[in-house]
Amino acid sequence: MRIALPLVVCALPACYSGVGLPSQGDDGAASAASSPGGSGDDGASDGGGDTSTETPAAATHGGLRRLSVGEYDNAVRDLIGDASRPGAVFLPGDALTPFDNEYAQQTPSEALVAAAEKVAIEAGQRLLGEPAKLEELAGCVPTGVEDADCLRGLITRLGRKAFRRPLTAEEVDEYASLLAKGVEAESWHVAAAAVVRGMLQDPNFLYRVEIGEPVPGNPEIVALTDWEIATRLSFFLWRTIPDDALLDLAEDGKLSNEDDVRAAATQMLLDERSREGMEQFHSLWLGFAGGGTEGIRADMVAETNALVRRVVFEEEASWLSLFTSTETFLTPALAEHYGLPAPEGDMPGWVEYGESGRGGLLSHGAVLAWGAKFGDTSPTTRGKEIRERLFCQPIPPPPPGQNTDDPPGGDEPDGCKIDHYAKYREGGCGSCHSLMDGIGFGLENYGADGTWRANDVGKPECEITGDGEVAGVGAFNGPAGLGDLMLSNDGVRACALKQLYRYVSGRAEPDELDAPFLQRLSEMHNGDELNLRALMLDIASSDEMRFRVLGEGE
Amino acid sequence: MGRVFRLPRRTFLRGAGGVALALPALEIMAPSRAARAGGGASPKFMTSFVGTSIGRNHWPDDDCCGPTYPGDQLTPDNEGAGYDLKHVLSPVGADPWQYHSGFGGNQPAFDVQKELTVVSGLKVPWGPDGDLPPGGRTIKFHYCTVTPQISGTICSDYSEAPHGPTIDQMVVDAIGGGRPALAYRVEAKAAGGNTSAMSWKSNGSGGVSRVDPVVNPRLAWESLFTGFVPPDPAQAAAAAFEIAQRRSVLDLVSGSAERLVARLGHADKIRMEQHLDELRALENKVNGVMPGSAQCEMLTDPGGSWPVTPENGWSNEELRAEVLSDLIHMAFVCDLTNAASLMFGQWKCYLKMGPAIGWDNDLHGYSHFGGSQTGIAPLSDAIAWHIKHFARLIRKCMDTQDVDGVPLIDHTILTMIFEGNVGYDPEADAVGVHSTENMVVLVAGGRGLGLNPGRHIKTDEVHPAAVLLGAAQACGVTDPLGDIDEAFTGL
Repeated sequence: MRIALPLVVCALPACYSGVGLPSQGDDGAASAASSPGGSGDDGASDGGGDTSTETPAAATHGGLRRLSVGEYDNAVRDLIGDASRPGAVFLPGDALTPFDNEYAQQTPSEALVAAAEKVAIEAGQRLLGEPAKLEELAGCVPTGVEDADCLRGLITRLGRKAFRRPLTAEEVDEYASLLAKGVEAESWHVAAAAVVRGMLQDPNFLYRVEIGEPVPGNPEIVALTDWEIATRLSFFLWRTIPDDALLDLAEDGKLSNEDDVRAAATQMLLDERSREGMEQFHSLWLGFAGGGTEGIRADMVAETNALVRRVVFEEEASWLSLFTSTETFLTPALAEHYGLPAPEGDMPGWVEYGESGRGGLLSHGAVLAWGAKFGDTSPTTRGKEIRERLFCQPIPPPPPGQNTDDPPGGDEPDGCKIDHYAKYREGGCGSCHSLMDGIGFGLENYGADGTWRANDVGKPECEITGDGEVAGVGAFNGPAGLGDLMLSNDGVRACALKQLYRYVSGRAEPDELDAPFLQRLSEMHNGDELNLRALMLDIASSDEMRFRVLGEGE
Repeated sequence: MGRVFRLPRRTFLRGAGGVALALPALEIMAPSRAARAGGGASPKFMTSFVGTSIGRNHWPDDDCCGPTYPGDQLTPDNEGAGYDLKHVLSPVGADPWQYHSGFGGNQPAFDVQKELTVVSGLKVPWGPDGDLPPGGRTIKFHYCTVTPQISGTICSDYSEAPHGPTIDQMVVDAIGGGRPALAYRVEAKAAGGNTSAMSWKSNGSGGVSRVDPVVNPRLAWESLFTGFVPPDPAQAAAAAFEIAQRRSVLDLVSGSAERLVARLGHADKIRMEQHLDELRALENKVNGVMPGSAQCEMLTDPGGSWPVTPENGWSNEELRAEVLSDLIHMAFVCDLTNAASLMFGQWKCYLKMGPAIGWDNDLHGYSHFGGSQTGIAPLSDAIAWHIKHFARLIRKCMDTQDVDGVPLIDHTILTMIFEGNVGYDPEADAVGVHSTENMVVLVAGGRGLGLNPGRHIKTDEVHPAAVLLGAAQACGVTDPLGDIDEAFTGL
């Protein structure tokens, strides 16, 4: 069901003062009631705080989202301290569109269920080898095999983090029945490991469940409970489950209004997990997730991650300055690979680009690997990636008569690359290739491995000028020039916002229900430097993060 | 929780909506025996997919990429039995052979020609979106070359999802008795989502649901051999305890899913019901008992962590292919399923096969003669690598007896399909490798199911799905396959 909320119509700057929402109660403390599973839940205690419900100015989609493989591994790490990232080994891979969390792509399957069980079994077995860790998770030392209280302690403590809410009495009882397995094996720890097994494959862990609670006078939307808000915040800012401190806020009813949520999010952004979360967001957006775990490729990923950290968190600079940075973080090996000066002290460190022609993130090897094809770069593919990822301009498929899989050169393999590509800009192909190839040729001085080159591969007679053009935007030379050009373009700002929203919402294409929120975010940051940290706080504390539209049949 | 065979929701809905409504519930639920061949052996069916077109050229001539692409490296020149074996089909023959690259020296030959039929001259038709022929594809090649073949439904968009269940699911729906089809993929690092799957099943709500393939051999192994009890008493006791524990935990987890289903809105409820279906299928597997059979045995644990190399690098796909093939074979021997799919690689497969066949570049690059390579040799070697694993599986089925004492291959039909072949490419309006003309389907076995294998059959533009449907009908499928209601009967 898609509705046009009357209040959404009002979701314009005139309706707001700064980032505040006029729909708040006068005292700013209005709160959604906070029961574990929302309306009609049956047992566990409510979160604290005022149980009255504010009237939201806007709401958007919500519902069931499965943890992506990356989120799952982060969650296992933070739940039981297992950093082996077993999901990446066993779970079905996520489609990258470009983010890994588009819930329309998530299909339950035997492979998913079997893999979740496998991961859970192995994690349980590992914990059996560390009985003290099981006791730490339980917060008690069992007095004997039949210590039901200690097992219930484990269920209550672990379940709260795994399900991101208190367990109901029925759920606690069901998990407590696993004590019988421990008794049979004459080991309390066997029962405890079975509890972990269960929780790691429980749908309440695998999925983000949002039920919400009724909003008086508005039957088409619900207010998320504080527990559900904590989960949204956590996966947005940390890509993992909430920690105890965040859950404590939910329990105390301190996530029920904009100010409280903003305060919580501010605190969360000080945490290391927010750095890791933003690294992963950028790696998905820019298309180098999983792009290197060892050797020079790992150094390249570290280079880009370091820039993300510096811009977003350390300097709190303009988000788009990622593309214009004059320094980069290099290992000595990567500096040598690029032909740049080594960092001081022969240790990884920041190095000035100087007059090298490099500049910003588009000079990074992790990103320049885009579109390597037939043993060389593909200016078309690089241009396509930049158009789609950074300008949010999808390139339509090639028309009849063009086979994008054949290598360039065709009948004239001895010619220069730029001449081969010139023919693509003619006739019916030209309308699309003119959008892409000019961008790619502006980066042609850099090979797919990130190294600088003056000529086409194996063709010294073919000089590469590095001159490029973003059709409709302007001319540039090299990655530094492209970065400057992008910074001056409103389309790139809008696209960055859209990509962030895709990531937050788990939706590849925002629809009419999402559009007002995007519009409002854009207007809120119109004219500023687009500080990503501020942007995240605005999203985190928005009505859209705390209210959702009911779906069909709810 | 006792050993209860839990009925998948979609099975129930299917039964409730059709003639099975009047049957006792247990008849719907229990593994079917109706389709068993004489002597108690049940039919088995496998579809495998190779993520490239079949190239044509003379090798070692360097006239690749010319306008006519002469010299198919797979399709025999001769028809009937005793057809000629070109390089790509070398593993099917009786003599050791070598890759053109010479990499790895002599390669095994499996002497399975008498069981392998090559069906050529096939065609997936095409047309403009909105006016596609039955089982047809839009002219955009890669996206739409898999689903028309395996589902018989049109592919007119970029979702790649078929509009009906795939052939492997048709087989288990017809004769599987609730036991799910196996779905494996060899290529470890694929795109994910619809692109990397080749099996879809009815979701009970009028649509289909993707069946993600298992890629990790250790997971596949453990999932398959859940019910085996070791002969050693101590190990057997430990195994029994483990099974009981899994049962308890899965029962608990299913209970959680059931409670959630009751509280969700329509769209979320469908997804959680699907999840619950899969949980129940897993419970059924855990509750099951391995049938006793002289040759049914638990294979050696493949062990290891099976790391996945980023960026389509080589992730030991040679051993993955062997282990996954062995598991399909033993699943058939032990009668654990009636159908399987084995996706060697997704369409437009970028698997870097150098460590297997000695050529630089990736499978997609081979098929377009890219990089520094010349000629058809790398592509021929790459397809021969796929055929090697296919022939190995055929041989294993020939060398194993079914429960009735006859070779397993007699009641088993193994098929292999490809993305396309050289012919007219409507996308380019020229001859090229992006064509779905001149396609080939390999069909092995099935002698005991009425097939007459070991021949080369040339057809006149029969749809590949019709060939798969003909093979599946021999296994007991009676419904059409998507738009394809006329099966190829010449097998």
